[in-house]
Amino acid sequence: MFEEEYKRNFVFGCDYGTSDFKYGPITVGDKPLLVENRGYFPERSIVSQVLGVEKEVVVGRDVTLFLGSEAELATRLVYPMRSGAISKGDERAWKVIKELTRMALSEFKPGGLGFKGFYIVAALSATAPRYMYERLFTIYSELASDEGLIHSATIIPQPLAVAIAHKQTSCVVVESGHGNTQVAPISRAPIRGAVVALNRGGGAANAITAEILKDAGYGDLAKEESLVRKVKESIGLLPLDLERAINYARNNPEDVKAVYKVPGTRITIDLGNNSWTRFLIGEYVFDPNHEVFESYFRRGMPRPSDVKVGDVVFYGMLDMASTIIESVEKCPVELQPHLYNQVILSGGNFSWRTPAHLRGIAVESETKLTQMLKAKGVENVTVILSPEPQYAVWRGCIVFGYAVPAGYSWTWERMEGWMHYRR
Amino acid sequence: MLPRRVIFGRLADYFTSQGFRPVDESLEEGFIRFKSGREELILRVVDDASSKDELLSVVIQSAFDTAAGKVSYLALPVEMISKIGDYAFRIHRIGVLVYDEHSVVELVGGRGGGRRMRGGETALDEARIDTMLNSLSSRIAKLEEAVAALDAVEELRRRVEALERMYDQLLRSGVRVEEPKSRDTTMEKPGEAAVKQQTPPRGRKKEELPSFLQDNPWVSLLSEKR
Repeated sequence: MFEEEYKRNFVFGCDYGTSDFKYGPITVGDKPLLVENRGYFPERSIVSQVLGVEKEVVVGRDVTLFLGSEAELATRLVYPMRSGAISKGDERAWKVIKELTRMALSEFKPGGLGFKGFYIVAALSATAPRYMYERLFTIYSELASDEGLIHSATIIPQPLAVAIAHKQTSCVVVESGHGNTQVAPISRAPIRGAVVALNRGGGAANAITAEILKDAGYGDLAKEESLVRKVKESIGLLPLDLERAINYARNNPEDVKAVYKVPGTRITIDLGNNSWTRFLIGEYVFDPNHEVFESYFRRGMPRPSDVKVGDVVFYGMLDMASTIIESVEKCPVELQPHLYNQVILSGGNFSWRTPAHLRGIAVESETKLTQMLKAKGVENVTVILSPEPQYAVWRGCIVFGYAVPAGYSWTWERMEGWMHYRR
Repeated sequence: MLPRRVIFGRLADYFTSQGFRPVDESLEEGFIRFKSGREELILRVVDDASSKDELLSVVIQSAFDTAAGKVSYLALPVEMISKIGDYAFRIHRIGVLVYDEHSVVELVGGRGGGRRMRGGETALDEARIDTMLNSLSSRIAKLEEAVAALDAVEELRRRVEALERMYDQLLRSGVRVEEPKSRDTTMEKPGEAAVKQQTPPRGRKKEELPSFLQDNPWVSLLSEKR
């Protein structure tokens, strides 16, 4: 059929992550394009009009052209998502999402005849409430009718996309983004009732990194979120056993010494005697219950709290292994061994450095989680780290769009299928 | 408004009664393809729900088909033809069927020159014939210009195909060819150097699927969705 052939050439993936928006058509290759999920609302003035800046919101790579003072950023720079969700009435956030989507599709809109719009597959957090689906479909409808950019659209949960990208039909996907971590069992389809979420993600690791910087005398730098993130990625470590790692650091201070030079500046960050705190950054994501974190909570760092978004509770203090166990144990007993046998970790939050001289002390996420699960009595566990976690969701979107027949229409009961905007 | 399936059924009946048989159809795409012996006819259907852009797209597709020597028909609601007229269709030899809730009428013939004249219309005086001939000459000249433009497009298409064949032969013969930034201009886009470093060449051929699609059990699983 023409429709199938057309669809397979114009499938377009959109991964709306809390930090980044990843997008691109099936023809782009193995990796999507990536821009920060944010928008800038410039001041509307005659000057801006003369300069051709008439858009209400600027997104994508152009945002950097507008970054000004910190005070201005607070009011004009909008990061639309918090923990993978957008508030229902947050109109500016939805405008950013619409403009990002328009930008992405327009970049790849082909010239010439025969183009009838993209088959867009969007991925949202497994915990995204229904109103987000409804609002996103409304945006797609507007982009379809106003600019002919969209033929049909569908929305899938991010963990399903990860499972698809990894070619696993029975598995547990642990997707850890900036704001939260979702644990979702998959058995040929998402097992929606078994999703368990944590109110911790990369943002939590950033928070503890900022506290560590303050304690080391870099309180002024701790306010800059992007710098804190870079410091985290550069010096953060994940200990196999936190107690052992701290002891090792105290006995071998030179081995764990943490120095970070900010590229392109004169700034050098040296944690000095506090270098052992590098281990806290990774540990905090996996298990914030160690007593050492209490001192940070007492000094004002917010303790991750349980929050309810829609029908889903995001646990603040549950450790990663317990979260997986709770999720798997909501599934049929017969299925549980298959799920433990394939635990996929996805999201940049699972990428931790393992310096050769700290082997056995600082470990990868797979080793850490396997150890944590074994300690809780789960045997025969296989944990794998997505080789390119930042792209997995987008890839899953592309496979989904490629494979699902064009005639399979969206239904709200199943929460899947194509929402058609054109015949 | 009549359901699209009903409209399709009536239109199919119309051509079936004239010796054609439907060989392919798509409600979503809005077309029916017929055959009668070696003659092939494609009918594109526009209904009340179609937008202006869709109408324009269908007309352009039909014009392309006609220019390529195919028999092409459009089916339109009767109210729509009164708004847009039939002049352009006659010029481009695109057949037009109009339909309403009760009937289907062939307004412009697409297979040999237009609606058959009724008896009273044959008595035309010479002056009127001259006027019509002049008008026809003018229309033919415009048509020739349009066909020349189409020929130019066709020539460009042939050249691109020849270049692609040469490129593939070079690749097969082991010659190392620097991959162009984009072989498919329709997918060209600007981007920062950093982004380009992450992005493999675009415009992959249809058969060159990304690695994450190859041997993926989800493809057969998802394709069974109904």
